Parts: sequence; structure tokens; C-alpha cells
Amino acid sequence: MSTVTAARKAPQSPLEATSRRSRWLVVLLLALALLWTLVPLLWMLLSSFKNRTDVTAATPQILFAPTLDNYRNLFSGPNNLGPYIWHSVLAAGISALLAVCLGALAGYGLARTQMRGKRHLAFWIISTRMAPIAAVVVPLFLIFRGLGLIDSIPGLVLAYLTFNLPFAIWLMSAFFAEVPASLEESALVAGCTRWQAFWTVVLPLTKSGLVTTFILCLVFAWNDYAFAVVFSGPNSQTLPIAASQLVTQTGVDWGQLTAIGTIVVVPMMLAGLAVRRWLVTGLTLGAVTGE
Amino acid sequence: MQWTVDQPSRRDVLRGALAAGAALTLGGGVTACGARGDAPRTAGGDQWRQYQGTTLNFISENTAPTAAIAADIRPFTDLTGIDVRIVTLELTALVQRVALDLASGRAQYQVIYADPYQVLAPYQRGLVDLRTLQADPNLPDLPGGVEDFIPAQLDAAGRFVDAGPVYALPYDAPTMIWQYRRDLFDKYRGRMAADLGFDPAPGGDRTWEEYFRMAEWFNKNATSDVRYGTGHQARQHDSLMNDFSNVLWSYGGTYFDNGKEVGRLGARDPGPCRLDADAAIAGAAFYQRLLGIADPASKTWDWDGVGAAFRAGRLAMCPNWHEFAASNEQVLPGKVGYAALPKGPAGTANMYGGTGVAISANTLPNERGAAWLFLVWATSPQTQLANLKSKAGGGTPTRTSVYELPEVRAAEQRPSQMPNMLTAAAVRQAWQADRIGLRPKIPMWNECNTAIFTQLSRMLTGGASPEEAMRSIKSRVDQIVARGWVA
Repeated sequence: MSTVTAARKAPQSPLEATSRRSRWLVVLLLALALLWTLVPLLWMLLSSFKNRTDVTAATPQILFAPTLDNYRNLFSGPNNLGPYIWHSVLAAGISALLAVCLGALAGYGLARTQMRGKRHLAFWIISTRMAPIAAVVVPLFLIFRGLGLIDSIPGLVLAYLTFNLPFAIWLMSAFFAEVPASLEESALVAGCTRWQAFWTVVLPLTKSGLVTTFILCLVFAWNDYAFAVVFSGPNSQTLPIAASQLVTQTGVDWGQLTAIGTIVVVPMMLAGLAVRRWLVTGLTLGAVTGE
Repeated sequence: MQWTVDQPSRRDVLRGALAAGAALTLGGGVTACGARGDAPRTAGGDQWRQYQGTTLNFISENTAPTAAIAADIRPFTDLTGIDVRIVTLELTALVQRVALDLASGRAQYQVIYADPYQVLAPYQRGLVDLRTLQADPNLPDLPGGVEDFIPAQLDAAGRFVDAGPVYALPYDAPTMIWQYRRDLFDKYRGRMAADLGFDPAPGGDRTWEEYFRMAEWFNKNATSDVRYGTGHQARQHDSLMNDFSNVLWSYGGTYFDNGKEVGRLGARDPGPCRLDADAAIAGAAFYQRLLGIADPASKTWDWDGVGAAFRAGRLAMCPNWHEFAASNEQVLPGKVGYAALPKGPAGTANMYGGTGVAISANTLPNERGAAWLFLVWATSPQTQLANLKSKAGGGTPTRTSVYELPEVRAAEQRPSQMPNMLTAAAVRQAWQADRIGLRPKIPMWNECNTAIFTQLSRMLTGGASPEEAMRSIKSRVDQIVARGWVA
């Protein structure tokens, strides 16, 4: 018995002590990261339920009488948010869907095709995302104006595709490169056409990649302000534009702004949570591969 | 599994690119040719209904009058049968969108909120001379004519260089005035007078030096009521230029020779910058000293920040745009007073930030007529009065006749149903020709403005002395002006 007790009370080895310290450090860093991420969101959520006085009080109010006025005001009168939400859903949803469909086809081609200059082509595709938006806005505006796409949902979809598609191609080609070519060869031997091999064998194996790409493209398009501010108009304004409209000449309506912020963030968070299994797999897979 | 693709020749690639480009151009041209027609018009009959069925797009900053009009556009639609869609944007985004729209040759926005410094001066050639529409017998006249607009505002917001053409009608008129806690001045007036040796009643007769001493007095003696005597919109932003300019002008400094004229009518080539003059440097030195005793957060505030701090009870006084009165009265009812800004050794100046509404020169004839109807209605005395009463907006009239209406006169006193009118006495003084503060109306002002507030910010954060800052601004502004402007 005494031997056991003595063994239990034996001093920790330096290795164990270091390991414990590392664990605490990791926990501390994680806690800090969590606070860094969650506090602004929580602050925004709380502020969206505050009245005008509480939201701008010099001393931040944690306990307050909650009100739905900010949300009510967003959906009533001349500033009805409904059309903005609908435009955002349409433009972001369709562009993300198109980006995934086209990105999957192009990414598959890029992953499986052998040609001279393939690496240059791959780099050129992703490099189109590196140009600052301000540099491409004027030529794009003139092209869109010529094509009659200004102030239209198809115009916004096309604008979002310009930055989503290269990203989708790049990401999807990395996922396809992970799929062993022998699986497709087996399918071809079994009598499948090339399309059937792609559709029935390869695509299901990259489900996490498809979901990840779709969600990321959706988020990019959903949050876009730079393109929307130039290409949208009375018939196509999106949620980020609605948020900017609350910055007025005589002040910012912080209550409504945080309410819009909540409306913008919550659907993306829910979408992310709904597919988090695939998202985590996809992001980790994409992180360690690359053409 | 890998596929091998034959390498296309360079000639093939070029040929393909050329074909794609040609197809796009042709497609665009076809679409462009067929995409747009003019608005419908019914000749004869009621002038106000001749363009019924038209849709107009109005692009505006989110200002009080626009909010009021957006909330109650029905009377115009009922009167004319014209549908107006209003797009509000933050000013920088608005300028970008307007510039693109004017450059494209086709008007997506027929009616434009034309900031005098960022839209009117640089893009005046893209706007319609409204005299042509006023003279058109088929269109209704402006009630009271252009003469009913406050003269200094009509020149500042509506004209450019030439005193003849009118490109915009004055639409809003924010002006910087002295906003102070009336309750605290009442409470401490006796003590302040005894300590300071002068009557501290705010007004245009006070000097900036006295303002400084009053602010310092509050810092030392009224900390139970407010944290600081004064606060300013001194963030590295357009607001800093506005706040500083009031002091600069009152010390006799000027951005360019013939500064009043360059501010009122504008200039394409204003000549050399004069911020290296002794008076300008003295003004900068005072401003630096004033900010030294102001709320330190001033360096992070624009007009909204200082307005919020004032309403939160943090400051005893501040210079700010007069249209903040409406929100002041909501939070501090009856506790705020308004006066013209103090004077300096050379006089006084109250920065004017008003804007006009204009019509794009890219409009087709009937669209232009419909847009004129909207301008006439939106700036009419009836609409300006309705805006004053509107819960959604407020704003302040730009027409002399509106200020003379008995109900508007009555609203200058508390209790007032039109809280912005509580500032009427102060702004009426501020709008006098010798008191109004007009920044240079030059096409390249936006870039000059950035140079000005950037160097001022350096000065306030200790990175440059007032003299260094003023000389540095002069050097940069001279470069920008020398480069000229092509629009």
C-alpha cells in the first residue's frame, strides 16, 4: 500500500510538466481565439436588440430591455429589407452553384489532362483572383453596360463568377487530383463512358470538395460589397448595400446596422454548421494538396 | 488516368481570342443598340402628367431630405404618374458610381445628388444646364424661380466657375455651428464669467481663444457633468479638413488666392496653394493647441463620432453640422444650444456642406423632362416644408421663402416640432456671404482633401509641426493642381 502511495506521489518528470504546460497553453490560446471570434458576433447580436439610447451609451449596457424595433424597422416602410435579401439569395446562390458546376468540370480537366504549360495555366487561373477589384471594375462596368447587365441579377451572378470561378477551379482540381486514377480506369473497363466515370465514380468521391467549394463561393458572393456597389441598381441591390445605406450624413443607425449584420451572418453560419462534416474534411484535404 | 492534349499554336490562340472579342463586341453593340428607348410622353394637357409611366432613378447620399422623400414619394407619383426609385449610397461609393455612369454615355441614374466638390466640380460637363429646362414652355417653372434659393447656396451648390449656368438646385444645407450644453452653461455661467473674465455666452462674438479657455475651464471645473470641454471631428478623414478649415479661415488663412471666389463659384485652375502663409500656420498652431485640450478620442471621430459623444453627455461643446440638432433633441431635449462658430483675428467662418440635385446630361429628352419635374417637386417649398416635418428625415430648407413661413418661424423656439429649426438663428448668421465657409470648389479637390487631412492628422499626432504640415500640404496640393483635371 505504502509503495503504491509513494508511487502516486512521485514527482512529475520534466517531460510531463512540459506536456501539462503545453496543454494549458493550447487551452488558453483556444480560449483567446474563441473570444476573439465570438465576442464581436455576440456584441452584434446583443446590439441588434437594443434601443437607440442603449446602443450608443457611453458605458456599454449588458443588461437592457430587449426590443425588436431594429428588426421591425428593417422590414417596414420605405427601407424594406425583403428585396435586398431576395437579390442576395439569388445572386449569391446562383453564382455559387454555377461556380461549383463549372469549377468541377474545369478542375477535373485540369487535374487529369497532361499538356505543356499546364502549371502555367493553373497559375493563370488562380492569378485572376489576385488583381485588386478596383483595377477591374471600370473595364467590367463598360462591358456589362454594353451587354445590358448593369442593375440585373444575371449581371451580379456574372460578376461574382469572375472571382468565384477561378477559386472553384483551383480548389476542385486539388480534390480531383486526390482521387486515384485507377478508379476511373476500372469504370472505363467496366463499360462506362468518360462522362459516366466522372459522374458516377469521381464526383461522389469529391462530395466534401463540392460542398466546401459551394459554401466558400456562397460566402464570398453573399458578403460582396465592392462589385455590388458598382454593378447593382434599384432592381438588384444586395444585403451589404442595404447595410451601407445605414451610414447616413447625420450618423450611423447602429441598431439597424447590427440587425442587418445578424441577418447577413446567421444564414451563412447555419449553412456552415449544416455541412460542417464535409466542410472540415474538404478544407483539410484542400489544405494539404495542390496542383 | 491522364489525357494528352495537342498543344495549340500561338496563332490558334490569337485567332480564338480575336474571334471571342469580336463576338462579345458585336453582342454588346447589338444589346446596347436595342436596350434603351426614351421615356413615354403625352403631348398637350397637364404639364405635370406628360411623362406618366416613366421610371426615374435617383442616386443620393443617405441624407435627411432623401430619407424624407423616400418615405413619402407618393404625392409626386400621384401628381405625375412617374415612378421614382431611390438608391442611397455612402458618398465615396456614390461618387464612384456617378463617375462611371456619366462616363458610360448612358444614364442609369437620371437624377443625381451632386456634391459640389466631388461631383459638380469634376463632372460638371456631365450635368444638364438647368436653365434650359426652366426656359422650356412645355415644362413647369420653379416656384419662386432660382432667386428663391439662398444666394450663397445656389452659387456654391449649383454653379461652377461661370455665374450663368445652373447645374444643380440646392437640396440640403448642413453647416457647421457651435453646439453646446445649454444646461451646463446656465449652471456655470456666473462662475465661468468670474474665473474667465468675460461673459461665456456662446455666439459669433466669442473668439476661438475664448472657446479654448472655456473648454479648458470645463475640463478643470465640471468633470462631474462632462468629461471634456470640447470634442472635435479630427479623425484622418474629410471631417478633419472641415473642422480645421473653420479655424484656418478665421485666422486669415486660405487654401488659394481669392479663396472666397474659389469657394463660391469655383475654379478650374486656382493657382498656387497658400497654406504656407503666416496666417495659415498660425491657424494650424491654434488648432493643434485646441486639440491638445480636447477629448483625446477626437482624433478617432468623424462628425458622427463627435455627435454621438456629445449626445452621450461626454462633451460640453463641439463644432458640428447643424442637422445633428434633430438627434440631439431626441436624446438631450431642451439641453442643447446652437450658435455661430467663434471668430478669429481675421473674422469668422462656418463650413458649409450643402449639396444640390442635378440631371445627368446622358438622359434622353423625355427622361430629362421627367427628371426636371422631379427636381421642381423635390426642391419646392411644399416638399421642403414636408421634409422639415417628416419623422423619417428632417433636413433644412434651402429656400428663403420656407424660412419665412409662420409655422417654420414658430418652430425656431422650443417646444419645436421641427427640431432642426432650433438652429435657424445660428445658420442664418452662418450663411451670410462674409461668414459662410466654402472649401475650394476645384475639380481635383478630392485628392487635395486627402493630402490636407493626412498631413493635419500627422500634425495632431505629433508627426509634424504646424509649419511642416502646412508646407507639406502646399507642396502636395501644388503638384495635384499642376497636373490639372480631365473629365
